[in-house]
Formats: sequence, structure tokens, C-alpha cells
Amino acid sequence: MTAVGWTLVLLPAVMLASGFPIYVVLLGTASVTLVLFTDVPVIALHQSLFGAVESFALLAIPFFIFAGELMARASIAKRIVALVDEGTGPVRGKIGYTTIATTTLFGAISGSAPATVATVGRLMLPTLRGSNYPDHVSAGLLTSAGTIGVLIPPSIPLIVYGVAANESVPRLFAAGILPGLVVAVMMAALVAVQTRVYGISDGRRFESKNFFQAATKGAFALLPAAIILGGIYGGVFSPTEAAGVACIASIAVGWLIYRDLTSYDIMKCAERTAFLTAQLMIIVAAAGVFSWVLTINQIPQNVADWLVSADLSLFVLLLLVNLALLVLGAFLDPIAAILIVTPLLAPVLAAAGVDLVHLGIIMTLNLAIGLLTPPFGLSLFVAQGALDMPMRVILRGVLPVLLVQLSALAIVTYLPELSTALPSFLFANPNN
Amino acid sequence: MSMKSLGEQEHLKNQAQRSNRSVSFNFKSIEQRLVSTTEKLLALIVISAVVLNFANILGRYVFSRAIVGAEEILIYQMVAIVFLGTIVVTLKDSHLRMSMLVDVASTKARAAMRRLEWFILALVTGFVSWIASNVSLQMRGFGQKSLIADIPMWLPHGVIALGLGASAAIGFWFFLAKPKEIKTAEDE
Repeated sequence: MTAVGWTLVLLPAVMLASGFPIYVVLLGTASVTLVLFTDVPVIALHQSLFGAVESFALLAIPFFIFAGELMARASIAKRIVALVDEGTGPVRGKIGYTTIATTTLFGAISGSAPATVATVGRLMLPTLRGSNYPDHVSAGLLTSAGTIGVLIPPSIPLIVYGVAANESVPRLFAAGILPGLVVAVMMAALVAVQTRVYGISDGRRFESKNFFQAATKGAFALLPAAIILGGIYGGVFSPTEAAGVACIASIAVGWLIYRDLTSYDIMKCAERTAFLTAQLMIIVAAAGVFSWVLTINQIPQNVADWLVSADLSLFVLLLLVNLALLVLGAFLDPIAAILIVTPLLAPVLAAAGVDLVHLGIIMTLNLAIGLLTPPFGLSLFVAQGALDMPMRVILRGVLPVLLVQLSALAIVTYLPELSTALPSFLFANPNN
Repeated sequence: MSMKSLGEQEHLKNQAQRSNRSVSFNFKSIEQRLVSTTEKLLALIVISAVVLNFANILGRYVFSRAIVGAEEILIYQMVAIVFLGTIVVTLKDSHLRMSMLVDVASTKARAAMRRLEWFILALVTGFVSWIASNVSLQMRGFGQKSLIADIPMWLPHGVIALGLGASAAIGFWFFLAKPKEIKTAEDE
């Protein structure tokens, strides 16, 4: 490996391990490489940094975060959870299913699995304990929160992948639905098994009166979600516009209809949105510079050449990609990982015949699973703090979840139709 | 080296702690004021972006006339949110990182690692801010404007210089002040 290669691999590895902020690692490595090893004027670094965030598609990120904050601060999210809760009625494991549905909802809204663990973890743990779920089972369910959410639209990692791979975000959103449902069904099956094994009976009689009451109270709460999905797939809005309109709808529902959102709340949600956006998008900007430096040093080309020369079958290639992404996902934030890895993997896998929409789903699911992979998965540490449980209890609960989600990953990886069928059906014209 | 009595040592220790607290108090006060002001400004940018996006859609569908340059303005608002928001994230010491190794290190080692981190942060952001400010000044000199909305381009580029420049200053400030705070907190 050349000196540039070592700099681009070793320097970020050492800085990451030393706990440096991810954007400093990426920007620092790119700056050192540019100054020491290339003749490219440093002004190009700034142009690359600016270009990485100068994208209308990325504007969907602050809008989705704002909509999520508003829905969580008003009673919108709670009303949807109540509706799911009443709807599951006498089913054994209903609290477990409600937890999965709630984490999916929050994960989809916030786009961040660790944030979902922290928020929903504190909210649902008392209910799970009250229904006699053993702590490790609760920990497993709550720590895995958000894995489904990142696949179900709106998904921030999929927006970022869309920008990095130059793929249509609406197509990626459509592609995530069936794999998201596969993971949800498999997680539900795990809950069914665990409730039998541990003798949990948390079902109660279905009360149509209660259900209709919850449905009446929650009808308007579904409006923002209906606008996002209906607007995008009805061809009315782009994802960014839909996210912006969902913010207005959340304010209208919370402020005018449910009357539990004040102007102070809106301001606080906007402040929080700006904070989360900056925290996330500064990495997007720095990763843009880093991947540009990789490209001008022909690293993606070298990786592609090496993989082509290895003459691997598609099955083995996808297996290697999955293993590499799992390891990377256990160490690195999914957004940064997507931005760094996409320019390396996309050309190779496209040449091997993999649909780039399918690759986006594999990558997103993989990196989300990485967040709960021991010993470094970020969600594990967030759960330890949020649930106030020892790590061994969390790990005991996470292991069966990991097995289920890795099985789901294998299905999603080797059944590409799961990811490609819906976008092909919804968008006959690939330019949509 | 002169020997000091136990009382004198105690007195000097208390004086040092008081002085540390006073520096720390002023530091916190400035920090909080800067965070609060920047957060409010950023919140207004977020809300105005949502309103502009909605007005643009309404204009397009209801009045068959979109707002000229709305997308450009929205993009530059996002650039401002990201780079000005970075000031708040840096001040709150909340950048995303992999902190497991730092968390298990001894107090002394942690203070040293954090000091190095803030020094490198100041160096890297200072370097990029210097480039960004040069670009911004050049654009101002050329009078370069955006294609549709006619926005002077030195503004969005200047926001990068400002955000990263402020981050560099904060990094340097933390480099000098924060490790002492870590040690004092651990000692107490």
C-alpha cells in the first residue's frame, strides 16, 4: 500500500479510536492527504465541503427531524401508540408488539436508532416490566429499536444513501417498505416465541368501544404520515417538500386540533432540530470531502480492480460486503459509514449486476444491525444509560434479536425482489 | 523549595479551588449565553425554511406561480443551520464520536486525550475556516451571485468560515480550560 493509502486508512482509524469527533477525523485526514500528497489546490477542499451539503434532497433531513420532534412533543405520537395498543386487543405479547410498532414509528420519524432507543426505552420499559416481561427480553426489544424504522420511510440513512449513490429517494423509500415489514414480522415472531417461553400473558379483551375511541382521538395524528407517503407516492411532492408539509401538518394538528402544542414548544422543537441537523450534517459535509479525496487518489478504482481480479461469485461478493458492513457498522455512525463506503462499493456491485436500490437497503439494514452488535454497537451503550441495566442483561436480550435480524438481512440480501419489486411497480419510469 | 504548614497548604488549596470555580463560572456564563442566542437564531432559520417551502408549494399548486429562487434560499438556509449549528454542538461538546476507549481511560489519560482532541479540532477547523474565508472574500471581490435568487455568494460561503472559525476558537478555548475542569470534577 502507498503512503497515501496508509494515511487514508491508519490516520482515521487511530483518530476514531482516540475518541475524536467523526467530522474532525474525516476533515483532518482529507486535509492532511490533500496538503502532503496531492497537487490539488486547497481551495478545492472548501468547494467539496460546500458541495456536499448544497443539495435540495438533503434538506429533507432537517424537515423530517422537525416533523418528528413536533409529533413527539405534541400528543400525536402517543395517540398513534394508543391506537396500536387498542388494536392489538387480546393477542398474547401485545405489549411486545406495541413496543415494536412504537420503536418502528419513532425510528422512522427520527431516523436515528440510538435516539429511538433513548426515547422509547424510557417510555416503554415501565409498561414492559408491569406486564412481567423479564428485563433481558425488554432490553433486547428496546435496544433493537430503530432497525426497522430506518427502512420504513421516511428514513434519513436512505436519503443520505440516495444522495451519495445518485439514486432516486422515492424509489429507495418504496424499496425499504417490504424489507422493513420482513424484519417487523420476524421480530413479532420472536416476541411470540419469547412470550410463550417466559409464560407472559399480557393480552386483554378487545373492546370495540375503546378501539373506536382511540381511532377517533388518533385520526388526525395520522395526517402527517398520510401527507408524507401520499404526497410522495401520489407524485404531488418531492420527499423534501413532503417533509416540509408534514411539519406544517404536525403544527396544525398539535396546535389547532389537539391544542397541546404551544409556540414555545414549536420554538424548542426548532432549536432541537437545528442541533440534531448540525450534529448529523457536519459529518455529511466532512464525509463528502473525505470521499472526494478517496476518489482523486483512485482508491475506489483500486478496490474495484482488486475485487474484479479476485473473480468472486455474486453470492460470495455479497457475503463479504455484508461482513465488512457489519464490522464497520459496529464502529461507525451509519450516516458517516454510508457516505464513505458508497463510492467504494457502488461501482463494484453495479458492475456485478446488483441494483443500486437493493444495495442501499442492504447497506442501511446492515449498518442498523451494526449498532447493536457487541462489543462496540452504539445502541448497546445508549440502552445501558437509558434503561439503567447492566451490560450483561442487555447483551443477553440482544443476542436472540441479533440472530433474527441477521436472518432477515440474509433474506433481504439474497432476495433482491423484496427491495426492487415495489419501486418497479410504483415507478414504471426509472426517472421518477 | 520552602515547606508550607498544613494550614497554609489548606488555604492555598481553597484559594486555587475558588479561582478555578470563578474562571469556570465566567466560562459557563459566556458559553450558555452564546448557546442560547445561536439556538434561537437557528430555530428561526428552521421555522422560516418550513414556511418558505410551504409557501412555494402553495404558490405552485394554488396560484400556478412558484417563488423564484426558493430552492436556492432553502439550500443556503440549510448550509447556515449546519455550520452555525456546529458552533452550538461544539460548545455543548456533543459531536458524534466513538468514545469507548476514552471513557475507560484514567482521568489523567482522558484529560490528555481530550486536550489533544481539542487542539486537533482547533487546527483542522481553523485551517478549513481560513480556506473558506479566502473563498468568501474572493467571491465578495468578484461580486458573484447565485444563479436564480441573486444571493451574494460570499454569504453562504462566509457562513462556513464563520461556523468553523468559531469552532476553532472554541476548540482552542477548551484546549486551555476544559482538561482542568475534567480533573477538578474527578478530584471533587
